[in-house]
Amino acid sequence: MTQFLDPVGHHILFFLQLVKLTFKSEFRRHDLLTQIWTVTSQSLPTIMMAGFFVGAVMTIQFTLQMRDFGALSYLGGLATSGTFREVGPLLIGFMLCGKVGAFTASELGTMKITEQFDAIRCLGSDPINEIVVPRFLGIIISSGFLLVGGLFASILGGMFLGVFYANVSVEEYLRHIPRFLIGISILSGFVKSLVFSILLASVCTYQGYHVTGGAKGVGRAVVRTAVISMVGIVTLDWLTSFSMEIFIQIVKEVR
Amino acid sequence: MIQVTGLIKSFSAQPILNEISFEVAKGQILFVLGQSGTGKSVLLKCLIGLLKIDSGEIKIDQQRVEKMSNSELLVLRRKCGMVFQQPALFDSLSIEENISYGLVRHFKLSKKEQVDRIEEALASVKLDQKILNLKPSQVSYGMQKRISMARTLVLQPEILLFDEPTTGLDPVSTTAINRLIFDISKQYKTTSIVVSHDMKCAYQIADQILFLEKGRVIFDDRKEKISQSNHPLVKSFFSEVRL
Repeated sequence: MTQFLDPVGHHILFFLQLVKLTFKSEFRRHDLLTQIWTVTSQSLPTIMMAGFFVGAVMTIQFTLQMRDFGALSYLGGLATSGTFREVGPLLIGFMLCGKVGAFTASELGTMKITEQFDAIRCLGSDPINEIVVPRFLGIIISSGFLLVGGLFASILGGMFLGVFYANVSVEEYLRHIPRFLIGISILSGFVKSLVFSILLASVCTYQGYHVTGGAKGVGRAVVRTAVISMVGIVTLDWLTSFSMEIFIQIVKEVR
Repeated sequence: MIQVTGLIKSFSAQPILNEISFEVAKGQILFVLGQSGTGKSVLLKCLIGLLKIDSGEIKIDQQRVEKMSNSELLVLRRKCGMVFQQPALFDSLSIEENISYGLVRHFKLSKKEQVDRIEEALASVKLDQKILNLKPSQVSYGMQKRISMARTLVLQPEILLFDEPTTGLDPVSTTAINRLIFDISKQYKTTSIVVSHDMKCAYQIADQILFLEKGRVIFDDRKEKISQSNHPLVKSFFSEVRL
Protein backbone atom coordinates (compact mmCIF):
# COMPACT_ATOMS: atom_id res chain seq x y z
CA MET A 1 0.00 0.00 0.00
CA THR A 2 2.84 2.35 0.94
CA GLN A 3 4.49 1.55 -2.39
CA PHE A 4 1.39 2.89 -4.14
CA LEU A 5 0.69 5.85 -1.86
CA ASP A 6 4.27 7.10 -1.67
CA PRO A 7 4.55 8.19 -5.32
CA VAL A 8 1.00 9.57 -5.22
CA GLY A 9 1.97 11.77 -2.26
CA HIS A 10 5.18 12.89 -3.96
CA HIS A 11 3.22 13.62 -7.09
CA ILE A 12 0.72 15.80 -5.22
CA LEU A 13 3.53 17.69 -3.46
CA PHE A 14 5.30 18.25 -6.78
CA PHE A 15 2.05 19.52 -8.31
CA LEU A 16 1.49 21.92 -5.39
CA GLN A 17 5.08 23.15 -5.78
CA LEU A 18 4.44 23.84 -9.48
CA VAL A 19 1.23 25.71 -8.66
CA LYS A 20 3.03 27.78 -6.01
CA LEU A 21 5.87 28.63 -8.39
CA THR A 22 3.35 29.48 -11.11
CA PHE A 23 1.75 32.09 -8.85
CA LYS A 24 5.17 33.34 -7.69
CA SER A 25 5.74 33.99 -11.39
CA GLU A 26 9.54 34.01 -11.31
CA PHE A 27 9.92 32.07 -14.56
CA ARG A 28 10.85 33.85 -17.79
CA ARG A 29 7.85 34.92 -19.91
CA HIS A 30 9.86 34.25 -23.06
CA ASP A 31 10.31 30.58 -22.06
CA LEU A 32 6.57 30.21 -21.46
CA LEU A 33 5.68 31.77 -24.83
CA THR A 34 8.23 29.51 -26.54
CA GLN A 35 6.64 26.46 -24.90
CA ILE A 36 3.11 27.51 -25.86
CA TRP A 37 4.20 28.07 -29.44
CA THR A 38 6.19 24.81 -29.62
CA VAL A 39 3.43 22.62 -28.18
CA THR A 40 0.65 24.28 -30.18
CA SER A 41 2.46 24.40 -33.52
CA GLN A 42 3.79 20.84 -33.25
CA SER A 43 0.51 19.27 -32.15
CA LEU A 44 -2.15 21.30 -33.95
CA PRO A 45 -2.00 19.44 -37.31
CA THR A 46 -2.23 16.04 -35.58
CA ILE A 47 -5.01 17.16 -33.25
CA MET A 48 -6.99 18.72 -36.11
CA MET A 49 -6.63 15.58 -38.19
CA ALA A 50 -7.80 13.46 -35.26
CA GLY A 51 -10.63 15.93 -34.56
CA PHE A 52 -11.77 15.75 -38.19
CA PHE A 53 -12.10 11.97 -38.03
CA VAL A 54 -13.71 12.04 -34.58
CA GLY A 55 -16.41 14.35 -35.96
CA ALA A 56 -16.77 12.05 -38.96
CA VAL A 57 -17.13 8.93 -36.80
CA MET A 58 -19.70 10.61 -34.56
CA THR A 59 -21.74 11.56 -37.63
CA ILE A 60 -21.66 8.00 -38.97
CA GLN A 61 -22.78 6.60 -35.60
CA PHE A 62 -25.62 9.10 -35.22
CA THR A 63 -26.70 8.66 -38.85
CA LEU A 64 -27.23 4.93 -38.32
CA GLN A 65 -29.56 5.60 -35.38
CA MET A 66 -31.37 8.68 -36.59
CA ARG A 67 -32.14 7.56 -40.11
CA ASP A 68 -34.59 5.01 -38.65
CA PHE A 69 -36.45 7.78 -36.82
CA GLY A 70 -36.40 10.18 -39.75
CA ALA A 71 -34.61 12.76 -37.63
CA LEU A 72 -31.55 13.39 -39.77
CA SER A 73 -32.09 17.13 -39.58
CA TYR A 74 -30.92 16.94 -35.96
CA LEU A 75 -27.73 15.11 -36.97
CA GLY A 76 -25.44 18.17 -36.86
CA GLY A 77 -26.71 19.31 -33.47
CA LEU A 78 -26.40 15.93 -31.76
CA ALA A 79 -23.07 14.92 -33.29
CA THR A 80 -21.49 18.31 -32.49
CA SER A 81 -22.87 18.43 -28.94
CA GLY A 82 -21.63 14.89 -28.25
CA THR A 83 -18.22 15.72 -29.64
CA PHE A 84 -17.91 18.97 -27.68
CA ARG A 85 -19.05 17.51 -24.36
CA GLU A 86 -17.44 14.10 -24.35
CA VAL A 87 -15.54 12.59 -27.25
CA GLY A 88 -13.59 15.66 -28.34
CA PRO A 89 -11.88 16.50 -25.03
CA LEU A 90 -11.29 12.82 -24.29
CA LEU A 91 -9.65 12.01 -27.59
CA ILE A 92 -7.69 15.24 -27.67
CA GLY A 93 -6.50 14.41 -24.14
CA PHE A 94 -5.34 10.99 -25.34
CA MET A 95 -3.59 12.51 -28.34
CA LEU A 96 -1.80 14.99 -26.07
CA CYS A 97 -0.70 12.13 -23.80
CA GLY A 98 0.93 10.32 -26.69
CA LYS A 99 2.51 13.37 -28.26
CA VAL A 100 3.15 16.14 -25.75
CA GLY A 101 3.26 14.03 -22.59
CA ALA A 102 5.72 11.49 -23.96
CA PHE A 103 7.88 14.22 -25.52
CA THR A 104 8.02 16.31 -22.34
CA ALA A 105 8.77 13.30 -20.09
CA SER A 106 11.59 12.14 -22.36
CA GLU A 107 12.97 15.67 -22.81
CA LEU A 108 13.08 16.35 -19.06
CA GLY A 109 14.35 12.82 -18.36
CA THR A 110 17.21 13.23 -20.81
CA MET A 111 18.09 16.59 -19.25
CA LYS A 112 18.15 14.90 -15.85
CA ILE A 113 20.41 11.99 -16.81
CA THR A 114 22.81 14.25 -18.72
CA GLU A 115 23.18 16.41 -15.58
CA GLN A 116 21.63 19.48 -17.22
CA PHE A 117 19.45 20.13 -14.16
CA ASP A 118 22.51 19.99 -11.92
CA ALA A 119 24.26 22.36 -14.34
CA ILE A 120 21.36 24.82 -14.02
CA ARG A 121 21.59 24.61 -10.22
CA CYS A 122 25.32 25.24 -10.45
CA LEU A 123 24.65 28.31 -12.56
CA GLY A 124 22.61 29.63 -9.63
CA SER A 125 19.11 28.89 -10.94
CA ASP A 126 16.33 26.54 -9.97
CA PRO A 127 15.57 24.00 -12.75
CA ILE A 128 11.94 23.63 -11.64
CA ASN A 129 11.41 27.36 -12.06
CA GLU A 130 13.50 27.64 -15.24
CA ILE A 131 12.55 24.47 -17.10
CA VAL A 132 9.60 22.66 -15.53
CA VAL A 133 7.14 25.49 -14.76
CA PRO A 134 7.16 26.94 -18.34
CA ARG A 135 6.50 23.43 -19.72
CA PHE A 136 3.76 22.76 -17.16
CA LEU A 137 1.98 26.02 -17.98
CA GLY A 138 2.74 25.72 -21.69
CA ILE A 139 0.93 22.38 -21.92
CA ILE A 140 -2.11 23.68 -20.01
CA ILE A 141 -2.46 26.87 -22.07
CA SER A 142 -1.74 25.14 -25.38
CA SER A 143 -4.36 22.48 -24.73
CA GLY A 144 -6.98 25.26 -24.81
CA PHE A 145 -5.85 26.30 -28.30
CA LEU A 146 -5.60 22.67 -29.37
CA LEU A 147 -9.10 21.96 -28.10
CA VAL A 148 -10.50 24.85 -30.14
CA GLY A 149 -8.62 23.64 -33.24
CA GLY A 150 -9.61 20.01 -32.69
CA LEU A 151 -13.29 20.80 -32.11
CA PHE A 152 -13.41 23.10 -35.12
CA ALA A 153 -11.96 20.28 -37.24
CA SER A 154 -14.49 17.86 -35.72
CA ILE A 155 -17.37 20.07 -36.87
CA LEU A 156 -15.86 20.10 -40.37
CA GLY A 157 -15.37 16.32 -40.29
CA GLY A 158 -18.93 15.75 -39.08
CA MET A 159 -20.33 18.13 -41.67
CA PHE A 160 -18.28 16.49 -44.44
CA LEU A 161 -19.71 13.06 -43.63
CA GLY A 162 -23.15 14.56 -43.01
CA VAL A 163 -23.18 15.91 -46.56
CA PHE A 164 -21.55 13.00 -48.37
CA TYR A 165 -22.74 10.04 -46.29
CA ALA A 166 -26.06 11.07 -44.74
CA ASN A 167 -27.14 13.35 -47.63
CA VAL A 168 -27.87 16.24 -45.28
CA SER A 169 -27.24 19.71 -46.68
CA VAL A 170 -24.68 22.01 -45.03
CA GLU A 171 -27.46 24.40 -43.97
CA GLU A 172 -29.50 21.63 -42.41
CA TYR A 173 -26.47 20.20 -40.64
CA LEU A 174 -25.58 23.56 -39.12
CA ARG A 175 -29.13 24.71 -38.37
CA HIS A 176 -29.64 22.72 -35.12
CA ILE A 177 -26.13 23.07 -33.76
CA PRO A 178 -26.96 26.21 -31.68
CA ARG A 179 -30.02 24.42 -30.27
CA PHE A 180 -28.04 21.45 -28.95
CA LEU A 181 -24.71 23.11 -28.35
CA ILE A 182 -25.77 25.15 -25.35
CA GLY A 183 -23.39 27.00 -23.06
CA ILE A 184 -23.14 24.08 -20.64
CA SER A 185 -21.92 21.76 -23.43
CA ILE A 186 -19.16 24.19 -24.36
CA LEU A 187 -18.31 24.78 -20.70
CA SER A 188 -18.23 21.05 -20.06
CA GLY A 189 -15.79 20.52 -22.95
CA PHE A 190 -13.48 23.27 -21.73
CA VAL A 191 -13.60 22.20 -18.08
CA LYS A 192 -12.75 18.63 -19.09
CA SER A 193 -9.97 19.75 -21.36
CA LEU A 194 -8.53 21.97 -18.62
CA VAL A 195 -8.67 19.18 -16.03
CA PHE A 196 -7.09 16.65 -18.42
CA SER A 197 -4.32 19.04 -19.41
CA ILE A 198 -3.49 19.84 -15.76
CA LEU A 199 -3.29 16.12 -15.07
CA LEU A 200 -1.13 15.46 -18.13
CA ALA A 201 1.16 18.44 -17.50
CA SER A 202 1.80 17.45 -13.90
CA VAL A 203 2.28 13.73 -14.69
CA CYS A 204 4.73 14.20 -17.55
CA THR A 205 6.80 16.87 -15.77
CA TYR A 206 6.90 14.80 -12.56
CA GLN A 207 7.93 11.62 -14.38
CA GLY A 208 10.55 13.40 -16.48
CA TYR A 209 12.01 15.39 -13.61
CA HIS A 210 12.37 12.32 -11.38
CA VAL A 211 14.01 9.98 -13.88
CA THR A 212 16.68 7.68 -12.47
CA GLY A 213 18.66 4.90 -14.09
CA GLY A 214 19.93 6.31 -17.39
CA ALA A 215 18.33 5.70 -20.79
CA LYS A 216 16.18 2.84 -19.46
CA GLY A 217 14.85 5.20 -16.81
CA VAL A 218 13.81 7.67 -19.51
CA GLY A 219 11.94 4.88 -21.31
CA ARG A 220 10.20 3.89 -18.09
CA ALA A 221 9.19 7.52 -17.45
CA VAL A 222 7.63 7.80 -20.92
CA VAL A 223 5.64 4.58 -20.46
CA ARG A 224 4.52 5.63 -16.96
CA THR A 225 3.45 9.04 -18.29
CA ALA A 226 1.30 7.41 -20.98
CA VAL A 227 -0.28 4.85 -18.65
CA ILE A 228 -0.93 7.15 -15.67
CA SER A 229 -2.23 9.99 -17.85
CA MET A 230 -4.60 7.82 -19.87
CA VAL A 231 -6.01 5.99 -16.85
CA GLY A 232 -6.21 9.35 -15.05
CA ILE A 233 -8.01 11.00 -17.95
CA VAL A 234 -10.66 8.27 -18.13
CA THR A 235 -11.17 8.47 -14.36
CA LEU A 236 -11.35 12.27 -14.39
CA ASP A 237 -13.70 12.11 -17.37
CA TRP A 238 -16.15 10.15 -15.29
CA LEU A 239 -15.65 12.46 -12.33
CA THR A 240 -16.08 15.68 -14.33
CA SER A 241 -19.14 14.30 -16.20
CA PHE A 242 -20.70 13.37 -12.89
CA SER A 243 -19.84 16.75 -11.32
CA MET A 244 -21.12 18.65 -14.35
CA GLU A 245 -24.44 16.78 -14.21
CA ILE A 246 -24.81 17.70 -10.53
CA PHE A 247 -23.86 21.29 -11.39
CA ILE A 248 -26.48 21.40 -14.16
CA GLN A 249 -29.16 20.05 -11.79
CA ILE A 250 -28.26 22.67 -9.18
CA VAL A 251 -28.39 25.46 -11.77
CA LYS A 252 -31.81 24.23 -12.98
CA GLU A 253 -33.16 24.11 -9.45
CA VAL A 254 -31.89 27.59 -8.63
CA ARG A 255 -33.54 28.92 -11.78
CA MET B 1 38.88 28.02 2.09
CA ILE B 2 36.95 24.73 2.00
CA GLN B 3 36.72 22.61 5.16
CA VAL B 4 35.04 19.22 5.30
CA THR B 5 34.71 17.42 8.65
CA GLY B 6 33.32 13.94 9.28
CA LEU B 7 31.17 13.89 6.15
CA ILE B 8 28.91 10.84 5.85
CA LYS B 9 26.65 10.18 2.89
CA SER B 10 24.74 7.02 2.02
CA PHE B 11 22.14 5.99 -0.53
CA SER B 12 19.38 3.62 0.69
CA ALA B 13 21.42 2.52 3.72
CA GLN B 14 24.48 1.86 1.54
CA PRO B 15 27.35 4.04 2.79
CA ILE B 16 29.10 5.95 -0.01
CA LEU B 17 31.20 8.47 1.93
CA ASN B 18 32.37 7.57 5.42
CA GLU B 19 33.85 10.14 7.81
CA ILE B 20 35.53 12.23 5.11
CA SER B 21 37.60 15.14 6.40
CA PHE B 22 39.94 17.46 4.51
CA GLU B 23 40.77 21.13 3.90
CA VAL B 24 41.69 23.06 0.77
CA ALA B 25 43.36 26.44 1.14
CA LYS B 26 42.40 29.39 -1.07
CA GLY B 27 43.98 29.27 -4.53
CA GLN B 28 45.08 25.63 -4.23
CA ILE B 29 44.35 22.76 -6.62
CA LEU B 30 43.15 19.57 -4.93
CA PHE B 31 42.93 16.34 -6.92
CA VAL B 32 40.51 13.71 -5.61
CA LEU B 33 41.67 10.30 -6.83
CA GLY B 34 40.38 6.78 -6.43
CA GLN B 35 38.82 3.89 -8.28
CA SER B 36 35.37 4.08 -9.87
CA GLY B 37 32.51 3.94 -7.39
CA THR B 38 34.42 5.29 -4.41
CA GLY B 39 32.19 8.34 -4.09
CA LYS B 40 34.36 11.02 -5.72
CA SER B 41 31.54 12.60 -7.75
CA VAL B 42 29.16 12.30 -4.80
CA LEU B 43 31.68 14.23 -2.71
CA LEU B 44 31.73 17.10 -5.24
CA LYS B 45 27.93 17.23 -5.37
CA CYS B 46 27.75 17.27 -1.56
CA LEU B 47 30.18 20.21 -1.43
CA ILE B 48 27.77 22.55 -3.20
CA GLY B 49 24.58 21.08 -1.79
CA LEU B 50 23.43 19.22 -4.91
CA LEU B 51 23.17 16.20 -2.59
CA LYS B 52 22.16 16.41 1.05
CA ILE B 53 24.64 14.85 3.47
CA ASP B 54 23.67 12.49 6.32
CA SER B 55 26.02 14.05 8.86
CA GLY B 56 29.23 16.06 9.12
CA GLU B 57 30.17 19.63 8.30
CA ILE B 58 31.00 21.41 5.07
CA LYS B 59 32.29 24.96 5.34
CA ILE B 60 32.97 27.19 2.36
CA ASP B 61 34.44 30.53 3.42
CA GLN B 62 33.19 29.85 6.97
CA GLN B 63 29.60 29.29 5.79
CA ARG B 64 27.97 25.97 6.71
CA VAL B 65 26.74 24.51 3.40
CA GLU B 66 24.65 21.69 4.91
CA LYS B 67 22.58 24.20 6.87
CA MET B 68 21.82 26.48 3.91
CA SER B 69 18.30 26.94 2.55
CA ASN B 70 17.64 26.41 -1.16
CA SER B 71 17.86 30.14 -1.87
CA GLU B 72 21.16 30.43 0.04
CA LEU B 73 22.50 27.46 -1.92
CA LEU B 74 21.65 29.19 -5.20
CA VAL B 75 23.69 32.20 -4.09
CA LEU B 76 26.59 29.96 -3.00
CA ARG B 77 26.60 28.13 -6.32
CA ARG B 78 27.05 31.40 -8.17
CA LYS B 79 30.53 31.62 -6.67
CA CYS B 80 31.26 27.87 -7.04
CA GLY B 81 31.43 26.85 -10.69
CA MET B 82 31.14 23.17 -11.48
CA VAL B 83 32.18 21.40 -14.67
CA PHE B 84 30.42 18.06 -15.02
CA GLN B 85 31.59 14.69 -16.27
CA GLN B 86 29.33 15.18 -19.28
CA PRO B 87 29.30 18.61 -20.92
CA ALA B 88 25.65 19.07 -19.76
CA LEU B 89 25.04 21.77 -22.38
CA PHE B 90 21.47 22.78 -23.19
CA ASP B 91 20.74 21.23 -26.60
CA SER B 92 18.04 23.67 -27.64
CA LEU B 93 20.21 26.75 -27.04
CA SER B 94 23.07 28.06 -29.16
CA ILE B 95 26.60 27.94 -27.77
CA GLU B 96 26.43 31.68 -27.07
CA GLU B 97 23.15 31.24 -25.16
CA ASN B 98 24.67 28.33 -23.26
CA ILE B 99 27.68 30.37 -22.18
CA SER B 100 25.63 33.43 -21.29
CA TYR B 101 22.96 31.40 -19.40
CA GLY B 102 24.12 32.40 -15.93
CA LEU B 103 25.24 35.89 -16.99
CA VAL B 104 21.84 36.86 -18.36
CA ARG B 105 20.02 35.65 -15.27
CA HIS B 106 22.19 36.86 -12.44
CA PHE B 107 24.21 39.86 -13.64
CA LYS B 108 22.92 43.19 -14.78
CA LEU B 109 25.45 43.74 -17.55
CA SER B 110 25.21 45.77 -20.70
CA LYS B 111 25.26 43.88 -23.99
CA LYS B 112 28.88 44.96 -24.56
CA GLU B 113 29.96 43.78 -21.12
CA GLN B 114 28.26 40.44 -21.75
CA VAL B 115 30.01 40.04 -25.09
CA ASP B 116 33.36 40.92 -23.49
CA ARG B 117 32.87 38.34 -20.73
CA ILE B 118 31.87 35.65 -23.26
CA GLU B 119 34.88 36.44 -25.46
CA GLU B 120 37.20 36.32 -22.47
CA ALA B 121 35.78 32.96 -21.33
CA LEU B 122 36.04 31.55 -24.84
CA ALA B 123 39.65 32.73 -25.15
CA SER B 124 40.58 31.14 -21.84
CA VAL B 125 39.38 27.74 -23.08
CA LYS B 126 41.06 28.38 -26.45
CA LEU B 127 37.93 28.38 -28.59
CA ASP B 128 37.10 30.53 -31.58
CA GLN B 129 34.16 32.95 -31.56
CA LYS B 130 32.98 31.50 -34.88
CA ILE B 131 31.27 28.66 -33.01
CA LEU B 132 29.03 30.97 -30.95
CA ASN B 133 26.01 30.64 -33.23
CA LEU B 134 26.25 26.86 -33.55
CA LYS B 135 24.26 24.36 -31.49
CA PRO B 136 26.16 22.05 -29.08
CA SER B 137 25.41 19.04 -31.30
CA GLN B 138 27.31 20.69 -34.16
CA VAL B 139 30.70 20.65 -32.40
CA SER B 140 32.93 17.81 -31.20
CA TYR B 141 32.74 16.27 -27.72
CA GLY B 142 36.06 17.83 -26.75
CA MET B 143 34.79 21.27 -27.78
CA GLN B 144 31.59 20.68 -25.82
CA LYS B 145 33.69 20.06 -22.73
CA ARG B 146 35.53 23.35 -23.30
CA ILE B 147 32.25 25.19 -23.85
CA SER B 148 31.01 23.72 -20.59
CA MET B 149 34.12 25.16 -18.92
CA ALA B 150 33.57 28.53 -20.58
CA ARG B 151 29.97 28.57 -19.30
CA THR B 152 31.31 28.12 -15.79
CA LEU B 153 34.24 30.54 -16.16
CA VAL B 154 32.12 33.36 -17.54
CA LEU B 155 30.59 33.78 -14.08
CA GLN B 156 34.11 34.26 -12.67
CA PRO B 157 33.65 31.80 -9.79
CA GLU B 158 35.95 31.82 -6.76
CA ILE B 159 35.84 28.03 -6.49
CA LEU B 160 35.97 25.57 -9.39
CA LEU B 161 34.86 21.96 -9.17
CA PHE B 162 35.73 19.58 -12.00
CA ASP B 163 34.08 16.16 -12.17
CA GLU B 164 36.30 13.92 -14.32
CA PRO B 165 36.84 16.65 -16.90
CA THR B 166 38.87 14.45 -19.26
CA THR B 167 36.59 11.38 -19.38
CA GLY B 168 35.98 10.26 -22.96
CA LEU B 169 38.67 12.48 -24.47
CA ASP B 170 41.68 11.46 -26.55
CA PRO B 171 45.19 11.87 -25.01
CA VAL B 172 45.86 15.18 -26.81
CA SER B 173 42.59 16.74 -25.67
CA THR B 174 43.16 15.32 -22.19
CA THR B 175 46.52 17.06 -21.91
CA ALA B 176 45.03 20.29 -23.25
CA ILE B 177 42.12 20.21 -20.77
CA ASN B 178 44.46 19.46 -17.86
CA ARG B 179 46.68 22.34 -18.91
CA LEU B 180 43.60 24.55 -19.06
CA ILE B 181 42.59 23.63 -15.53
CA PHE B 182 46.03 24.59 -14.28
CA ASP B 183 46.15 27.85 -16.27
CA ILE B 184 42.63 28.88 -15.26
CA SER B 185 43.23 28.15 -11.60
CA LYS B 186 46.42 30.18 -11.57
CA GLN B 187 45.11 32.98 -13.82
CA TYR B 188 41.90 33.55 -11.84
CA LYS B 189 43.43 32.48 -8.48
CA THR B 190 40.55 30.11 -7.91
CA THR B 191 40.41 27.23 -5.48
CA SER B 192 39.95 24.09 -7.57
CA ILE B 193 38.88 20.56 -6.74
CA VAL B 194 39.36 18.06 -9.56
CA VAL B 195 37.91 14.55 -9.47
CA SER B 196 39.99 12.34 -11.72
CA HIS B 197 41.53 8.92 -12.39
CA ASP B 198 44.55 10.49 -14.05
CA MET B 199 47.47 10.13 -11.64
CA LYS B 200 50.01 11.55 -14.05
CA CYS B 201 48.01 14.71 -14.50
CA ALA B 202 47.37 14.96 -10.77
CA TYR B 203 51.08 14.76 -10.11
CA GLN B 204 51.77 17.49 -12.68
CA ILE B 205 49.23 20.10 -11.67
CA ALA B 206 47.86 19.36 -8.18
CA ASP B 207 49.01 21.11 -5.02
CA GLN B 208 47.29 18.57 -2.82
CA ILE B 209 46.00 15.03 -3.39
CA LEU B 210 43.12 13.29 -1.64
CA PHE B 211 42.85 9.55 -2.18
CA LEU B 212 39.57 7.73 -1.56
CA GLU B 213 38.95 4.02 -1.19
CA LYS B 214 35.47 2.63 -0.48
CA GLY B 215 34.32 6.03 0.71
CA ARG B 216 37.21 6.58 3.13
CA VAL B 217 40.24 8.87 2.89
CA ILE B 218 43.43 6.83 2.60
CA PHE B 219 45.75 9.71 1.68
CA ASP B 220 45.45 13.48 2.11
CA ASP B 221 48.60 15.53 1.75
CA ARG B 222 50.84 17.60 -0.51
CA LYS B 223 51.50 15.75 -3.76
CA GLU B 224 55.23 15.45 -2.97
CA LYS B 225 54.37 13.19 -0.03
CA ILE B 226 52.48 10.62 -2.12
CA SER B 227 55.67 8.64 -2.84
CA GLN B 228 56.00 8.06 0.91
CA SER B 229 52.59 6.40 1.28
CA ASN B 230 52.61 2.72 2.17
CA HIS B 231 49.02 2.07 1.13
CA PRO B 232 48.99 -0.52 -1.69
CA LEU B 233 46.33 1.29 -3.75
CA VAL B 234 48.14 4.63 -3.53
CA LYS B 235 51.38 2.87 -4.43
CA SER B 236 49.79 1.21 -7.43
CA PHE B 237 48.41 4.56 -8.67
CA PHE B 238 51.76 6.24 -8.01
CA SER B 239 53.57 3.58 -10.04
CA GLU B 240 51.77 5.07 -13.10
CA VAL B 241 53.65 8.31 -12.60
CA ARG B 242 56.99 6.60 -12.51
CA LEU B 243 56.31 4.62 -15.69
